[in-house]
Amino acid sequence: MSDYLDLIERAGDINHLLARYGVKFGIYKNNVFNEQLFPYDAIPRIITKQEFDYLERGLIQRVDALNCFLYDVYNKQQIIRDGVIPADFIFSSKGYLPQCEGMVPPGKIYSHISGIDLVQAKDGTWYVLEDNLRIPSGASYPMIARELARRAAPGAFMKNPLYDNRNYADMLKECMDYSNTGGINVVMTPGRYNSAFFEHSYLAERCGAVLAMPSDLIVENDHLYYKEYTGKKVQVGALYRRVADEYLDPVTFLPESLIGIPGVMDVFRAGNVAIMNAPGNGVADDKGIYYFVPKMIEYYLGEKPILHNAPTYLAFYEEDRRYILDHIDHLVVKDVSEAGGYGVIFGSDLSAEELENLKQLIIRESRRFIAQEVIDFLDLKIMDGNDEVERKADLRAFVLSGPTTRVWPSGLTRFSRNPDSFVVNSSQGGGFKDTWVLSR
Amino acid sequence: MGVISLERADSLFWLGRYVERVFTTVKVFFDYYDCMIDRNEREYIHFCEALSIPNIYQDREDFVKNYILDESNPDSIISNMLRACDNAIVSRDDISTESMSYLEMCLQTIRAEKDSPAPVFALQSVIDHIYAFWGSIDDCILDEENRNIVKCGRYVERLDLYLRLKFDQTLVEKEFRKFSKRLERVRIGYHAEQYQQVAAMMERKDEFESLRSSILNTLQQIFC
Repeated sequence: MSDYLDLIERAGDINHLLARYGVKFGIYKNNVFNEQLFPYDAIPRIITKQEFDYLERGLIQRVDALNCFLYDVYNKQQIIRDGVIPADFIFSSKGYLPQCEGMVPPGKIYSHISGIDLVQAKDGTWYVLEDNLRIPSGASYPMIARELARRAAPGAFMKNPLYDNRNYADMLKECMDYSNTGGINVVMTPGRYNSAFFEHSYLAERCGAVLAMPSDLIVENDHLYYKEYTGKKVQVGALYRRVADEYLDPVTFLPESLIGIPGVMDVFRAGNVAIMNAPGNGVADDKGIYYFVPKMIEYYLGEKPILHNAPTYLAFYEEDRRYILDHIDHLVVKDVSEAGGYGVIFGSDLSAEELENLKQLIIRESRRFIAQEVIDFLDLKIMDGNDEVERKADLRAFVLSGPTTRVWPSGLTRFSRNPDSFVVNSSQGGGFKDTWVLSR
Repeated sequence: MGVISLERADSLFWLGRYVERVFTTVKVFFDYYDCMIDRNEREYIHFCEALSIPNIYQDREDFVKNYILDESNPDSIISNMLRACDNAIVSRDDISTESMSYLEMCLQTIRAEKDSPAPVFALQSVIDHIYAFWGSIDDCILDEENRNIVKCGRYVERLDLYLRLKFDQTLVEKEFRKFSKRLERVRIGYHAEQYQQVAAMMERKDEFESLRSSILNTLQQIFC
């Protein structure tokens, strides 16, 4: 039994320090931007060394396969030719970007920073719920929380043998340096009023990169430059962009984007900058493609998948669609085009009329929906005032791909503050915990 | 790092200005507050005139509360601190999370006074945090030029306020020397001619009081 009593006793001090250091996330409500503190719960999620070894193997395997898939799908498309994934399933994905066909990023790494969302069922089995290969966020929160918790409650860290998670920025820098094509490392934020701005600025500070706004960057002669205020231009070799693909380059994608860098895709195409994560990754973290990840692992790596997917049905397939329509009242239905906890519908929450409407929508737009069995997650203890209560929680594990693929020995544990809810996203009012990985 | 964009240089400059605006106005506010207790409870009218801010206050109590705490009043102390924080947040990788935290503490300190009958008391902590902020800036900003940009903003704001608020000539001269030293060490664009004019007027020591408004006006044009 790990001893974290000190942490609970000093939770108020830790939250005070989190506020002092501006550990916040932004949220838009009724078109008004508000920044709020991300509620932190002092009771850590604890992962044993043995459990982490298992997760680590499974996560590395999964991310390696996803990187192979991205290289394949934008080049030879062998997986389609071999009939493992239906072509129309890939080409109808919103995340598939024809503009990326034929592009090969430095080191063939597409997903440098992968956020894999997992849940643990009550029987102890871990399930992957979602792969986030575009701009997964959240690592900064447990990183800074650990730093502050160590100051407030050192006893807990003397008594427990933990992996130090404060090395995330070093791991990130290693990935940036590895892919860098020559020049400085830049973290590009869409702006001060982005919901994850704290993370952008904190990671830039901690990994020694330059934090840039889109207007600070310019393309000239097939190279990307950071414009100094003196007029001097400094070449950028690695661009960790925290802006979605469609806004990244108004010349290639949405012309109305004001937060992109005109021409940056040409620089990428010419191999003169590493974009992290690579554009086009959305095809691999599409909620529909998720169904095929275990098949990808077998196809590319010739291995049995170590981690399980949650049991998933694709409304796109007739047989699965029939199952979904017959069992909709106890399934969770997800709109593949939504993220951040939006577009998640629990059949059990709907009235008969709402269920019928949803069924009709699934029939009309079958590619848009997947359905999953509801996993009864393991509840984690959280403090509610002075009381210990149990709430649903997930784990976002961060896998970084550079010279090797590595799993950060920690992760973002998000929990629902609502006792009746499975939705843990910060944008939906959830909180977070540190994730301890025991080193022995 | 040693590279900063025009937008970042602007943020650093205005960070210095807003932090200094809070610092000096709080200190001057203490003097006026004293006067409002002892002598003239409508002394705040002169305070507003000296700073060229609109007098939107009903009475002394309204002034004390809203000038400190009202986030919807663009001239209030908290509004200026919010602007300082906005400029700090976008410069976190230059000024460090540590330095930023002192400004965050200023904000929290002021906000905590929302329902206090004596919000002025907390302003001493704001002054303390700002002193700590400047110490942290000296320690944490690795790039000397970036530090000089923040300090340039600090001294130009201080000069502006000292001139407006009729601070003693020797103090204005001292701050002008500090400002000049910082300006020499940065490559930000400014109007050298206006700077030279201010320097020339500062040299005419016997005419200082008659030149005060001209110095202020010309100072404001240096970074236009």
